[in-house]
Amino acid sequence: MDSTAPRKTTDIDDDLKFVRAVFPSANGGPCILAVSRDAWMAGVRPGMPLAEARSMAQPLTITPRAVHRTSTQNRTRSNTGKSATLRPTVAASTKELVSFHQWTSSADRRTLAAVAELTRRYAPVVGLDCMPLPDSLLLDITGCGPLFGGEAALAELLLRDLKLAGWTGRIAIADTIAAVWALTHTEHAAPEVRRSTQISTSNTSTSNAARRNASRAGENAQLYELPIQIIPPGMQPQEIARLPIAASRLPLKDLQILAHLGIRSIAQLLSLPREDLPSRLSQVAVERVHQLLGLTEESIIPLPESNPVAAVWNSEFPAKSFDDIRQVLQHLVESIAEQIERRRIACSVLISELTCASGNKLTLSAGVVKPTQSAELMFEVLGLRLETLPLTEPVSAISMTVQTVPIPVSRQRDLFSPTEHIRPQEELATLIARLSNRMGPQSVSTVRIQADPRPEHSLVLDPVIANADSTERAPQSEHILQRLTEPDPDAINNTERTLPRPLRLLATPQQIAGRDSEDRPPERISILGQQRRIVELHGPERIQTAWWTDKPCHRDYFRAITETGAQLWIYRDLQTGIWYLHGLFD
Amino acid sequence: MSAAAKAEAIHSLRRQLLASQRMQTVQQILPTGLTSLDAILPHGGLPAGSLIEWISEDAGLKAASIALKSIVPMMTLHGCLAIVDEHHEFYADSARSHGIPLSRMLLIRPVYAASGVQAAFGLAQATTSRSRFVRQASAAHSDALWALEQTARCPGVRVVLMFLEQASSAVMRRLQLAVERSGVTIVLIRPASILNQPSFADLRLYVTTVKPALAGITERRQLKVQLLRSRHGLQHTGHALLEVEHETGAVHSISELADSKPATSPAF
Repeated sequence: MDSTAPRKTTDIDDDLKFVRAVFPSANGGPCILAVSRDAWMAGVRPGMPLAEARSMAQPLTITPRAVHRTSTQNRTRSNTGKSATLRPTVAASTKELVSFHQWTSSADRRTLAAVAELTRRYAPVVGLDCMPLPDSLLLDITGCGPLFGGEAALAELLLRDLKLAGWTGRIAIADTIAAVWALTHTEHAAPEVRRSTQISTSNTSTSNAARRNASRAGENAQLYELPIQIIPPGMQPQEIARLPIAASRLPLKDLQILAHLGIRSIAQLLSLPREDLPSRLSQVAVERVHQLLGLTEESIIPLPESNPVAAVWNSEFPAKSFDDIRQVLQHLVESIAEQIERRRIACSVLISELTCASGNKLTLSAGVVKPTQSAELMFEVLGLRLETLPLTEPVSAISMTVQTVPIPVSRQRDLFSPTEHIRPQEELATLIARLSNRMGPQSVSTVRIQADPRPEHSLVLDPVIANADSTERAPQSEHILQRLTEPDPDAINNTERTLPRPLRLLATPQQIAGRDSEDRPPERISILGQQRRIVELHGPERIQTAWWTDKPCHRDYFRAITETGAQLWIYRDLQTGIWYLHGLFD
Repeated sequence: MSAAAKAEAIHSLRRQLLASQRMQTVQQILPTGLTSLDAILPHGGLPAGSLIEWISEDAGLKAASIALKSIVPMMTLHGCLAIVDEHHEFYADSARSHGIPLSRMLLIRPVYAASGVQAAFGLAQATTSRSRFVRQASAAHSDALWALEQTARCPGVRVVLMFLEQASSAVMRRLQLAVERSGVTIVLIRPASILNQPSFADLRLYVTTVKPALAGITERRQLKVQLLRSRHGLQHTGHALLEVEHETGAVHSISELADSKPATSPAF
C-alpha cells in the first residue's frame, strides 16, 4: 500500500481512512493490503509491514561457499598454490517467491468500473459497492430474470462472462443490498484468489428489489464454495441471521463496541432492542441495522458509461442573450434525445457545462424523477434551471452530457387491474421535476422520522431528486411516487397518539426573556408585533440529550397559553436560564 | 304578459337557475369527521377540488390543525398531500397526531426563506444586510406562490396546504382557475388581517377562541368555527364548536350547535 497516496476525492479519502483503521501499521509506512494464495503460503499477511513481507518472500538459505582469504601476511608465502578454507556463510537467495505491486484506490475503482461494462447486458443499473475500499458491483436485476431463463441462469451466465474475461467472482441474489453484501463478504476458509496479472478481485453482488420465484442455488465452483447464492423470497432474515457481525457493514468502532458486549452474529445484533441502539451506536450503525431489517431502502448509484451520450456546441460568435442560449440548448437537447432513442436508453439527469467568453465555466444540471426520452421535458427542466443561473457574460461553448438508465421494463398488467393511478403518478413526477429544477433539488422532499429527542433534528427531509453532484444514493422514484399517491382506505382511523408538538416550529428559536434569578417564566411575549400575556403554563417536559451528543440539548419545554387563547411552545435552556419561543400550536 | 304570469315566470326561472347551480356543483363531498363542522358545511362536508380558506383570529389558535384534521378523509383518494412551506416552519411530526401519514406528504420549501415569525419579531438576519434580506424574501415569496400554483395544477396532488399571509387578487384568481381544472383541493391558512379583502375561495372559515367564561369546562380549550362564505350551494348560519385536548393537542367535535338553520337563499 502506498501510504503517501495523493488526496483527491472523498471516495479515495474514505478508502485510505478505512485502510489505516483496519491496518494500524499503515500509519507508520507501507504495508501489505491484500495477498494472493502464493503469497499467503509464503507467510505474507495483510497488514504486515512491507519490509517484513519482503523478508518473508525472500527466505534466507545457508549455502557452503569457498572463501579466498588474502592478507599481507599471506602474500609472503610461497606461491605453490592458493590456500582455500571452507567456512559456512549465510547468503540470501536472490529468487523472490512473490511480487509486490503498489496499490492505489483510484486504480481499483477504475478496474471495477471496467468490470462493470461486462455486466451491463444483465442489468439496467450497475453501481459500485457503497463501502470504503469497494470490491463489489451491485446490479439491479428487477424483472430481468425471465429474459435469461431465471435468476439462477442469469447468475451463471454472468459468472461465465467474468471467467472468460479472466475474473472469478461470487454472486448473491436477494431483496436488499444489505443481504447480498453480507452473503458475498462472509469469510471463507480458503483465501481469495486473484487474477494472475492483477492484484484486485472482483466480487460481483447482484441485488433484486422485487422477487417473484424461488431459484435453485448454483453449482460449486472450483475455487469457492457456493459462488452463486440466491435467497428465496421471505427467507432473508433467517439466511443473514446466521452470518457473523462483520458482514453487517457496521463501522469499525461500532463493531468493536459490539464485540466488547459479546455480540458476534447478525442474529444477536438484530435481537437488540431497537430503541436503545441510537444511544449506544453511531448513526451510521443504526442506519445499517435498519437496512438489514429492510426498514430503510437503499439505492444503487449508477456508474457512468464508458461511451457517454454527449453533444457539444462552440462558436467564435458567443451567445449573448438568454434567448440565444436557450436556442442552443434546445438544439443540443434534440441531439441528445436522438442519441438516447437510438440506444434505447432514457435520461435521468442532464448536465450542461457553459464556457463563457472569459473562460469561466458554469455547470447546469437538471434531473427528472422518472427517466425520460422526451426532448420537450428535458428542455423544459433545463430551461427552469437556466433561469436560476447567474449568467453575466456571453457564452462561447456548451457541452451537454446525460446520466442514462435503460428504459424501464414495462410490466404487463392484469386485465382488470386499476390504472387510474398511473397518470397522476406521471403528472406528479413532472411536477416534482419542475419544482426541483426551478428552486433546487433540496426544495422538494419527502419526510421521515428519526430517533432524536431534539425537535429540530427529529425529521429527515429526503430530496426526491438527488443533486447531480451528490454522492448520496438516488431515491427509487417509482416507489416514492407510488407511496405518495397510493390511497389509504383506512386513513380516518390512522390517528397516532404522539406527544403534543406544534405545527409550526421556528427554524431558529427566538429569545423571549433573559435569565431570571428564580427561573420564573416570562409573563408577556411579543408575537406579530403585539404583546400577549401568558395566562397558563403547562409543563415542564424535559428534553435532554447525552453529554457526548454533538450539539447537546438541555431544555425544559412548556406549553404557554396567552390571553387570546393562542398556544405557544416555549422552553428554558437549563444551562443558560434563557427563555426561548420554539413553536406555535397552529 | 300579466303581472301574475311575470311573477310565475320569474319564480320558475329562479328555480331553474338554482337547479343549474346545484348541477355545476356536483363535486365529491367528503365529510370531515368532525360532526359539528360537517353540520355547517354545504352538503355536509368539504368539496374535493376547491379552494378553502381557514382564517385564524390569532397565531397559535389551532386553525391549521383543524384544517389538517378536516382533510384526512381526502387521503382515502389517490394523490399526495403537498405542503408549500415558504417560511420553513412546518413541523411534519405534529401532523401525524391529526391522522396525516408522513408517507403521503410532499414538502416543498423554496431554497431561501426567512422565518415568518422571525420577521414578525422584527429580527434582522445578523449576517445579511437589510436590502439583501428583503430581496431574498421577495424572491422566496414569488417562488412559493409559483410552487403553489404549479402544485394546484397537478392531478397527482390531492391537497395542497400553505400558510399564506398576503396574496393579490390576481394570484387568488389563478388559484381558483387551477383547482377548477385539476380537481386539487387548496387549503390556505390565513391571518385575520385579510378578513376585509375579497375572497375567491369556495369556502371561507373563521376560527376564534371561545372565551373562558363561556367555555364551561376549563380542562379543554374550545374553539369556534364560523362559515363566512360558501360559493356553492346553501349555507348554514351558525357556528361549530370544537375542543382541543390538553394532553395530545387533538381536535374533537362538540355536538351542540348555536342557532343553526339552513338559509333560504344562496350565500351570494
